[in-house]
Amino acid sequence: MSGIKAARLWQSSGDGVVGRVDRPAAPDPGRTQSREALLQACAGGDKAALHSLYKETAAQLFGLALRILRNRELAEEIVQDSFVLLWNNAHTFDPGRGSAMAWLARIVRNRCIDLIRRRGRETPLDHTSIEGWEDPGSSPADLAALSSDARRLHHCLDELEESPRKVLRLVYYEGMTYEEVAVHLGVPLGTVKSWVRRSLTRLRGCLER
Amino acid sequence: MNQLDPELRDQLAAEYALGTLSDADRQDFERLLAGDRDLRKLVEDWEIRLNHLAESAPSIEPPPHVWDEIDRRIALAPGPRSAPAPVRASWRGRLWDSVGFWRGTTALAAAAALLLYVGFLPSVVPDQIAALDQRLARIEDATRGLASRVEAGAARPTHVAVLLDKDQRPMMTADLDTADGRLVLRLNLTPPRDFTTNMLEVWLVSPDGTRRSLGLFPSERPGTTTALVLPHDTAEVLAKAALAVSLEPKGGSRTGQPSGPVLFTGALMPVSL
Repeated sequence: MSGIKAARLWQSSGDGVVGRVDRPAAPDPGRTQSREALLQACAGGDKAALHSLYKETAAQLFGLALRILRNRELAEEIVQDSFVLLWNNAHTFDPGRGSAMAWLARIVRNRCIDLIRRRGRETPLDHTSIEGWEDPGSSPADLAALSSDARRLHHCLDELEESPRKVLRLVYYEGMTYEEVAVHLGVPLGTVKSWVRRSLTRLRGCLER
Repeated sequence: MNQLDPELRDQLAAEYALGTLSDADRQDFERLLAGDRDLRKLVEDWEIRLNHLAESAPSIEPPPHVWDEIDRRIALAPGPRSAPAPVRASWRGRLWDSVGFWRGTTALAAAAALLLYVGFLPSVVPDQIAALDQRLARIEDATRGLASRVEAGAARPTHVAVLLDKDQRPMMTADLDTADGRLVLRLNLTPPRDFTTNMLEVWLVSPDGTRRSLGLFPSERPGTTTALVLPHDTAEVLAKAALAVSLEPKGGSRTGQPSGPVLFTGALMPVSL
């Protein structure tokens, strides 16, 4: 969690001009406060901080929700609900446990997954649209823009074999079940399950190194 | 679950976080989660680990009205005068996330709405019948309780409610005496939610759709009973209203309106003794 420590040091310096220490290639050169600091300001009732955080993260969170739900209206509602939840629960954010983006994505993705698991998908999976999505975050330029925690996760993903890695991405970014992945890739269900389980075990081992 | 080896606990936590457990496993796991703080921690750890992938999600700018709606919702002043959230019929799950669902509720309308909701899910009809049986049993229990208190010289409750969750389980019972505005609530089951940072808040949903906090429920333990004394006008409104319980951060909703999911609801029904 060295990136988190760096972010904390930066926050405590009170210097609002320099960029976040662990994001030398941050995509937004005008950023003056880390997302973590913004999230903590929300806990203090700072609505401007909420708006800044929204402007920084909403497009990715909406992209994630849209990719899982395949339905703009539902994705919009999830993003709205998630930011209201964020506002009411910002005080529970612990920067020692992960990035602000992971905390936010957790709210958004959990709600998306709950929705499609409990109610079923209202928009069926369309294989052609899946192929149309780019594989997220694979180019070096993309990686440079990530928090150190996210970079480490990508590094650990890269240590997996190609097929298990692809399955894990389908499960995370598309919200697919094992059955959906098996159909999509034409691989036996048991294989998909064992790929995911082994990948998770290996990921944890790698992240704890 | 505690007897399961740590590897398996961690694996299930990871799969739950990822969302790949089958429906049955997921429900079983959620029941375990409710009573196992260590397991909740394992899930949280995995959720945070895995959600670092979101930093690589494709960016798609949401339309401007998304922020406008967030801004409107967080700006809601405390108090019941704000407009209820719009009902989106296209999203069944949302009914349970919004007390706006209960806009215009009377006992009859609530029952009709419940049937409408159930109508979307034909597979739950047998469960629904079981739930109604349980509900009747609860009402009988509540009525017995009332009778013994009448004998003991206590005030005579005039209304009872059974609050059901979305799976039609009787989560909470309530009885109300409109004469002294005393509302006694009893929690029957612990909702499978994280109570390390959250607690239950009780809301009154008036027939005109306004929502007013009646107070916080002190514990998530089954069997917990609490009495809330309501202002006289509230007691009158209550007789025609519904109750809703939402999950809120410790200390209660900061907006004066339900900010977390509504976990269970029920209309107040008159009791004739």
